[in-house]
Amino acid sequence: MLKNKSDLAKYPFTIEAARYVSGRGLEIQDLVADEYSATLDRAEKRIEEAITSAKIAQEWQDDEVEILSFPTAIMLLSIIGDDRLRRRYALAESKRAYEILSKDESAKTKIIEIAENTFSWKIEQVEKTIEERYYEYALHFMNYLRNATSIHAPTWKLTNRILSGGYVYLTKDETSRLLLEEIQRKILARSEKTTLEIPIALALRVEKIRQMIEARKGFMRIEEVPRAAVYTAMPPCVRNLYDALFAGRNLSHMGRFTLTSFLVNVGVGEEEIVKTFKAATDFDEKKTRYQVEHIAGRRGGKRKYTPPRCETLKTHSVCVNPDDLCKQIKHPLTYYRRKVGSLFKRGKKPETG
Amino acid sequence: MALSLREGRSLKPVEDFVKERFSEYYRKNSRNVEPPPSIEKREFGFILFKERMMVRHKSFRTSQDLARFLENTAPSDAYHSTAYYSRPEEAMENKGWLGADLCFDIDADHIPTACKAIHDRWICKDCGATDVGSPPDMCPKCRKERIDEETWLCEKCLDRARTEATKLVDILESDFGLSKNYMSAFFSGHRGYHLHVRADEVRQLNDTERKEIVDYVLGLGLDTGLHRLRQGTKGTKLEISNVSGFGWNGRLAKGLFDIMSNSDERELADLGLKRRAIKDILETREQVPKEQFTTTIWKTLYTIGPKTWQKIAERAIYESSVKIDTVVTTDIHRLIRLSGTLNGKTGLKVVNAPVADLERFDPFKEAVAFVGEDTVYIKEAPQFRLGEEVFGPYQKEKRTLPRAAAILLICKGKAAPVIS
Repeated sequence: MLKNKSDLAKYPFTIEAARYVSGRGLEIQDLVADEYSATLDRAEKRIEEAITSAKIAQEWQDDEVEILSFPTAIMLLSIIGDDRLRRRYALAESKRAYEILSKDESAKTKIIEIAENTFSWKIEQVEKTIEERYYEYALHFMNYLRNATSIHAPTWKLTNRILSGGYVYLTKDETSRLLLEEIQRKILARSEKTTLEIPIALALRVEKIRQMIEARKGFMRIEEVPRAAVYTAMPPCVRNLYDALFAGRNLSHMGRFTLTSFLVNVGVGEEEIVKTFKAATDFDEKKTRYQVEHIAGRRGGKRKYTPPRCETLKTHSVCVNPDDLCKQIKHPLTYYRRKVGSLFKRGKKPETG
Repeated sequence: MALSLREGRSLKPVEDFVKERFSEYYRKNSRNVEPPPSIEKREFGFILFKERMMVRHKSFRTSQDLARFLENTAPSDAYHSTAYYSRPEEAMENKGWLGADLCFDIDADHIPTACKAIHDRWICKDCGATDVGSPPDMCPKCRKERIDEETWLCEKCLDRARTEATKLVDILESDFGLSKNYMSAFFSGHRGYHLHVRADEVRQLNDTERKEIVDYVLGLGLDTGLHRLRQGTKGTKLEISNVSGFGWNGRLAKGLFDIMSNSDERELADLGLKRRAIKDILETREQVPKEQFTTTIWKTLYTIGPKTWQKIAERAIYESSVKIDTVVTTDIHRLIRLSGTLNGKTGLKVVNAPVADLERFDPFKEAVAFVGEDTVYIKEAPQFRLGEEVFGPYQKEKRTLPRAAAILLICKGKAAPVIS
């Protein structure tokens, strides 16, 4: 168990820190009192740092303030209710934790404590060298899958892991990386929009943050949308093709065309698409380049192709796991535009007057 | 009276005949139907003889209610959800998904077997062209894509499916640490096996996570470099040395060594190995004692280049992977056949197969559902076995057969009842 205050300040998302805070019996109205102005300042700073640099500083003066400012910041986020900000904040906080953990001298036991107590992971400490790799942890596959499936790299694919008796072997750094995912999810869940009655003194702070978001909006979007294609905004069919490609599966002609034309239309560059297709097993760079250029309208009929409609995709079994949004649309590009819209533009405009 | 079978299948008397037999089965056996645990949280679906359509979103509070329903309706096929819902009878978006068993479907359709060329055939609906084996995507004669297939359930195919199921159980147990106590296996009554894992820990897996398990079982996305098949100092050499290694690491090593130690000249040539490499391998086998085959001796064969190692590795992965129907496992709202009910494609029953003793399970004996006899006119049928008795092959003949055999032939469209 994390006991001393400086640990709670380092890891304010833990259950121990939450217990400490609830032990103080703080109410939202109390926060306006003078003695908590430092806490409010720090909470605001946390959010500001997330907005401006996507990083939260790892130095602080007062442990007490550091501990209390974390739930306070989350409360502010849930009042503001901007999904994009919430995600950005969750990422910044989890990175902070990851970096502090990597410098922590007792990281090895801290990881176990945080994983078990706060996130109920089934995890064991091991000392094992398998095929020249040194592993320090074994994590139950359920906890592994929940956190690793969002990381798209061959090393994280379960097929490429050492899995035995239900446990996946991990290095210390890999375990911290998975904790980072879990911390993000927890912050996202805890900061969901609420309709709290807010004291006037807090309302001013909220307003200030809203303006800060507004001012940084374009910038945040550029940072968060790497050269356009947003994986999470892709319709299930395209995501499936994308995953299949990375899993080394051969795509059908229809699948290949759908993926390429989709990527072309959401603004991914030709070079980038060719690179993506490099993951395919039957990759022939020249041929792929030709196809991509053709679909992008630079060759042949000079016509830029759009992906087939949903109906066509169904016929050719490219349509998989349609979700609720799929029911409302008839074209994969419509899906994407709507999803991007709801992911990145939900931040409320500050009310004037 | 000889019915043309294509017409015969749509003729009402044939359907009534089968339905009557199914009805009789359910009157006698509905209490033996084995509902899944937490019956009240499951959705049920049925294909009825009359409508030939799936009736979904049914739910039952007790196994007695379910039994009564089966007696009254005698469906052609019966299914239950792998999922648990708080309101199973509502439309999908209102059901309240609570979790789902982890299910796998192993079907002979997904396993290439040589005998398919003997017992399966396809017919082009447009030009009538026909041939043996698995159906092509497009008719080679008229280039249209409307193709009908006639499959048969054969012992070799089902043996292969059962072997795949055994491999799957092994992976789930040794890699995923899931106990056999939480697994149930069923013969589907047609061409394959279903495996249900009902452990608490797998229930909450979402579709993405299930897909990752599917990929693992298939060996998909396996990066041989990450499993230490990589560039050595003097050209590429095999660095995997640990056949007792964990998971795919060990499986890949075992597979590689197996090919290197046991594949004959032709099999090695089929893998695309060059003459010199094959000669090297065969000579090494002669010179080195067999005990050392699983150690490091293969590393020293510099005649085998990186591309060839990759080919051998891919073959090894293929041999160790389990050929499952991927959609069944990833779909968390799936309906799957209910144990103890009849399969409308065969008249055989879906039956529990002991997970710990799969190799000794005999589907052609355990799945027989009927007693009595029926007379049928058989157009054409390959040889087959039910229980201890071997039937056929038949060619345009009238026969009085045990009821299970007669129903099987009728359901598969190979025979029509002779109704006196």
